Amino acid sequence: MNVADLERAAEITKLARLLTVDEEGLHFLREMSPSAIREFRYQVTDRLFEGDGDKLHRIGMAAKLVPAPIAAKAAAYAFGPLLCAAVAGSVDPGRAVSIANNLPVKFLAEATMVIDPRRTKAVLSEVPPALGAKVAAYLLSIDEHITMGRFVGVVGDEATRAAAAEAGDADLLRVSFLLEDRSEVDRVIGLIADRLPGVLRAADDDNLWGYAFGMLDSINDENKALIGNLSVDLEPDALGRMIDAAHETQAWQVLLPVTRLMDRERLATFSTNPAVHQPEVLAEILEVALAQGLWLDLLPMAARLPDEPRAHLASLVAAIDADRLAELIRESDEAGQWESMLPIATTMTTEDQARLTALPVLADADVLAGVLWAIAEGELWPAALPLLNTLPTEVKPTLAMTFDILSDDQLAAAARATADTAMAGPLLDVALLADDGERRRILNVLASMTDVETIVKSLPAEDDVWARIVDHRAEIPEALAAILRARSSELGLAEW
Amino acid sequence: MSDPSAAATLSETVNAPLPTEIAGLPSEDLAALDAMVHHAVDARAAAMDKAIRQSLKHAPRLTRPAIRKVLGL
Repeated sequence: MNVADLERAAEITKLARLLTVDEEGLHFLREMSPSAIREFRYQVTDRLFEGDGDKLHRIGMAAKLVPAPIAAKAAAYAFGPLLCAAVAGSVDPGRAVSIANNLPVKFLAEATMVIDPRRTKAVLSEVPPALGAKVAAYLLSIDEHITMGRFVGVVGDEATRAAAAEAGDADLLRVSFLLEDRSEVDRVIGLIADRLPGVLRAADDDNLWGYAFGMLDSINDENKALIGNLSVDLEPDALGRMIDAAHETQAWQVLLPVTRLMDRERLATFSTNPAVHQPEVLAEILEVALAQGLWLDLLPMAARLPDEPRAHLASLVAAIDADRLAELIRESDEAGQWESMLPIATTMTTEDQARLTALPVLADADVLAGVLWAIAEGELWPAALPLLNTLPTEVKPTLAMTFDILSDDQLAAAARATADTAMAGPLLDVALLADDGERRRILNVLASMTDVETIVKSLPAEDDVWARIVDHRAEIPEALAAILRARSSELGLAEW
Repeated sequence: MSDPSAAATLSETVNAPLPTEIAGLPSEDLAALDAMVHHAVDARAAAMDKAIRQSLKHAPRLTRPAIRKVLGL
């Protein structure tokens, strides 16, 4: 079952208990969103309390007039667990706890099944840890995780810890997912932090990943990062089963944002797990990212995929229509995500790269500067330089104008990377389009490099760059000019 | 087929505007829900009245008049 199915089943159970009907009688709610059922349940609860209002107040007053053991006797024999649950919120919290201490655990557990945590928070938060633990143990013995979910989020920290101590790891996972008050999930996770590795192992052992995804969906980024990292610490096969489960239960909407929050090492481990590399999984991940606005959540993981699956994903990205692709590029740029976007672009086919670099958004000087900076900072020159081959001619002057953001060392690193990629010509061709001052700096950097001869020797005869070199020969420092002349002569080109 | 009057009836019963998805249920399902809510309200009121009366039996005799007064019996 996916997260919504699990939530819906729990909501139908709660509503059926409130209406005192069989769950089958609510079969027509099986296609409905859990949030709609929950909202309706709250309305019915409020309606029931509206009808009881004055009586509940009077019972609360009367409970003060007799000793707690006598009130407990009346509660047990006259009211029963259902009505006691209704009355609980009207009794002074201290008094209610005194009465509860005189009631059988089974009775308290049955009352908890139908209690409204919104109206009884003050009472439940006073429940002593020892009593909470006893009620929890009883509820868990009858698999009442739904009720535990109503109870655990509301009782105090010590009582929650005491209740958790009674629960197995799988129980904790179910209860965390089923918490009535979802805003309490992070608090509860903080209280059971030492149990989380076991909880994740239980998710795998008992195939409860749907519950784990539901819990992940409700927690803050800090806990998403914590649980995301812990999930990667499972053995690879277990991590693979989690990924398979995310695919089978359409949970990538939950899991993708978690991957973005993992630490780099864990994310690399996650991204290299073979379960992510299945073509149908990659296709669904991209589909979810596009449909749910999770493009930026996808990028860090995509960038760390091994070459083959990354190339497959890149081919899917390249097939996105031009306007949408331009939006995604703009989004990546504004988020400073070129470091993650470039590994995708660089694994595209030459044809796809040409389509990408022809997009008007990549003619924007600010965007190009962002690309250039990410390449320089990430030392991605060897992979990124071939993109120059597909860059439209009219965009090259704009790119050249952005070279001034690179330091001398970064320029030298770019030049050095050309030797192994046969890209000296295309890079020099663009660099020579820079304005006068920047062009002189670039030429001086080249001239000062001890290995510039190796770079020049990689220039082929047929490269158009020779004509541009000739155009600017007066600006070239003599040491560099001599090396260029020697190479020109070696290639049998005209004197210059 | 959703029936606005069936939705309005249930809305009146719970004394709140229904969630859109609930309001869009077929009229027979809305009527079933309405009957369940009515039954729950009536059953609880009856059980509460009975429990209040029975609870007096467990109170010490001397306290019963005061309890009776507080409970409005």
